[in-house]
Amino acid sequence: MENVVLKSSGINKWFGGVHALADMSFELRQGEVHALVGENGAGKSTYIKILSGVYKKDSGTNVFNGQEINFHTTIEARRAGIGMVPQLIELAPKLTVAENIYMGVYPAAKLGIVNWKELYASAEKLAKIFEMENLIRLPVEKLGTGHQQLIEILKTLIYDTKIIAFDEPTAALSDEETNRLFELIRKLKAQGISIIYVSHRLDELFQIADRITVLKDGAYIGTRSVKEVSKGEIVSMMVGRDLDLYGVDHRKKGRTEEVLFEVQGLKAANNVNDVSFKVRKGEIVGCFGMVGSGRTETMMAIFGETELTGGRILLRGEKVEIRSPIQAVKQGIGLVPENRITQGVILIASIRNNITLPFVYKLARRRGGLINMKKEETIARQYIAALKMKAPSEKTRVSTLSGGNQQKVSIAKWLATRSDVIIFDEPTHGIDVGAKADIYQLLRELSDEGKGIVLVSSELPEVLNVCDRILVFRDGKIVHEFEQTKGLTEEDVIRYALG
Amino acid sequence: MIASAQKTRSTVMSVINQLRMLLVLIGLVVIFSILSPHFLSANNFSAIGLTISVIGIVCIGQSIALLTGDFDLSVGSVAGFCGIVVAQLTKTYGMYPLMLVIGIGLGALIGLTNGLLVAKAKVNALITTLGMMTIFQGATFLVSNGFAVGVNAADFRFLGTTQIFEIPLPIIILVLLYVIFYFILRYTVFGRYVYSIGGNATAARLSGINVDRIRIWVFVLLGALSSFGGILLASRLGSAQTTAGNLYPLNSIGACVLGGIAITGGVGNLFGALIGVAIIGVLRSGLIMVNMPSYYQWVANGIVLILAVYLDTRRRR
Repeated sequence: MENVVLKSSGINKWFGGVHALADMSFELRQGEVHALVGENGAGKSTYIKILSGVYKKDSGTNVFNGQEINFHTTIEARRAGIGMVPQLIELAPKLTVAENIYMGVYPAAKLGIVNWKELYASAEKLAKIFEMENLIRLPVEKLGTGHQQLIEILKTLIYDTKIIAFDEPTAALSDEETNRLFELIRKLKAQGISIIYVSHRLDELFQIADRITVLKDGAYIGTRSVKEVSKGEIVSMMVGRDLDLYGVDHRKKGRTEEVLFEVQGLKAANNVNDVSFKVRKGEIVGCFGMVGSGRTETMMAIFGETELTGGRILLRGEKVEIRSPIQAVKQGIGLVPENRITQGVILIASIRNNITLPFVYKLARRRGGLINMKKEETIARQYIAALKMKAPSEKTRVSTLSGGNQQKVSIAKWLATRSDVIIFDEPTHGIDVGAKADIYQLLRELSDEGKGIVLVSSELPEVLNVCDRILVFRDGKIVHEFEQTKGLTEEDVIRYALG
Repeated sequence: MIASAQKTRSTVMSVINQLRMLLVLIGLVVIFSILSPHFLSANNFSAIGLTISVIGIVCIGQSIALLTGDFDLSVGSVAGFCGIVVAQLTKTYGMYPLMLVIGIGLGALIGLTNGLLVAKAKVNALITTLGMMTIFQGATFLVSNGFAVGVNAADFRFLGTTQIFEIPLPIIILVLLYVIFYFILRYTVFGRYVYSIGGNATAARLSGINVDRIRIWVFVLLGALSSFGGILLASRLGSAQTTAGNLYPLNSIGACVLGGIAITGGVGNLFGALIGVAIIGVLRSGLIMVNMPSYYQWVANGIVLILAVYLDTRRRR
């Protein structure tokens, strides 16, 4: 058990002006599950990407089974025995399971002609580990997220694997799929494989990990055995302070009577079947439901991104026409979309340009189209400070920021636009506890200012502790409404979501 | 302290990236000056300036399209077609200033068609502009019966042949247009939208930007600029050639990318594009000066284009 398979020391990595890893160190023993935790931007993903050949480190040493390693590609790393299961599934949807498992390393005869027989034979053998041997000829797009993730794991098992690094493996999994994943990890562990497990979900770590290493701002903070540490201690190591995730309880039934925003009988082609609800001024309304329950689709329809086939939208009691996001934004509605990378921010643009985008035309009024740069800079700095973003300056490219800070940019946009109704679709998905607490506090501040807040979330503790009221979605409809959240349990809510 | 040091570091890096192509340009000038005694002269530089003035104007439009995440292969055909039409009209009816306006309007109209097809009808930009390229190549021959259209009217030749303090007017127009559009892209709302759409069109749309409208306007602008380039070329040469813009699609994209404008959109600026254009001009002139047969230009242009995209790919790694 005490046999060290991997020892990293003095690892440094810069991304432009951001010091992602600062003299970071780490040690992995054979057959252990070693969790790597830290706030967003702490450097966890960067570190395992260096190990598995995605990034190159700037300095430092990684010693694997007594040899210094420095991989240039993920395939090189896998051949040597280090595999990584990425945070986002990266598979070719039209290709079969077997083709995806062996992507890049197809068994081939002379002239590079693929030996399909051998490919499917070995894929079948490998897939047996997860009882997926019947699925290997199916295209990946026909499989659920859980199975797709298992394919990513299988890819790491082609070679004689010694280390597997998981990057937020449960982010997209259901509870049942998570349990199955844990069983699997225990199986791998029993075979002597060492696991590096990156996750934000602390509860999980105490179920699956042997030891926990905490990173902060790219530096090593400490390693603890799970048996000898409390959750609170890990959190304070991560944030450098004691943290109360949800802060003071402000939840309240019927904050005000004034209805700010209302939808009636909303229908859209993609799983929105007659949705009606109200948002009162100063209220946080939670929308809970399983994946595919129609929550995101409803919000996209309200925002004009998908076409409405029926129903109407009212703002302050008056009917408004929203045929595209252009009108939604003009009417004072903001949407923090589900996927911050593809929908929320412009990665290659600066923080400043991202924040002011929806209203930048207002900064050029009566100036012949010329943007008031001074004013823009002031606004950007104001929101960088207000949302406690970690960034060298307002000119910093969003791509160099951590996930949590990117999400803050996506949110800051609507605060700076002064939208009256802001829809947050999974705003804390895949971000760390520190940034989460910041966002919860912010939601309450916004509601106190009299804005109407809609919070779409799949995380029950979040919905229960933050929202004043909860709408439960199922099959494109609201199946239940909880007028207040005080005293509610997770079971109460999930019962309606499952039907 | 650390934050400001990092800031300086990244600013320095971006300046170095910009200067790298300028160094390539200077390097080429030095090499050709050594190889040919006639290369380094005011006359030759003025000639180079004249040859790049037209492609340079086309490159402004192409840059904006690339920054938006689009591109246009019909620029050369539009330049050739509008040049022929204006020459023919002026030859027949006179009234050159009116015909100039009509010509630019015609270019804008072709651009509008491109824009509507790409942004509204969602036809792939490659296919749309490739199709338009062929259509207007054909139309150019139909209008002219395959012959160049010569015009000697003084007003027709004014833009192309006037000199101010011994500097040819086309060069002055070129520099002026670059300065104007550089500032438009950098400081106006339109410019911000162009960069934002090229950076992430979905995020821009979800921020309430009218993405389709901006993309259409970019094509309109591109059509108008290409047309103006074609008319300017006819004015300089005293005749509109049927094959005038044949190399523009590739050369304009090559010059822009060489100058640091990302083929994926959202990154780069016009200063870089101008350097890219200058590199192509110097290369062309230099090859002639060292007595390379003119068809080597085609070979050189192809190499430059691929090299440009290769450098662009490496930059982003």
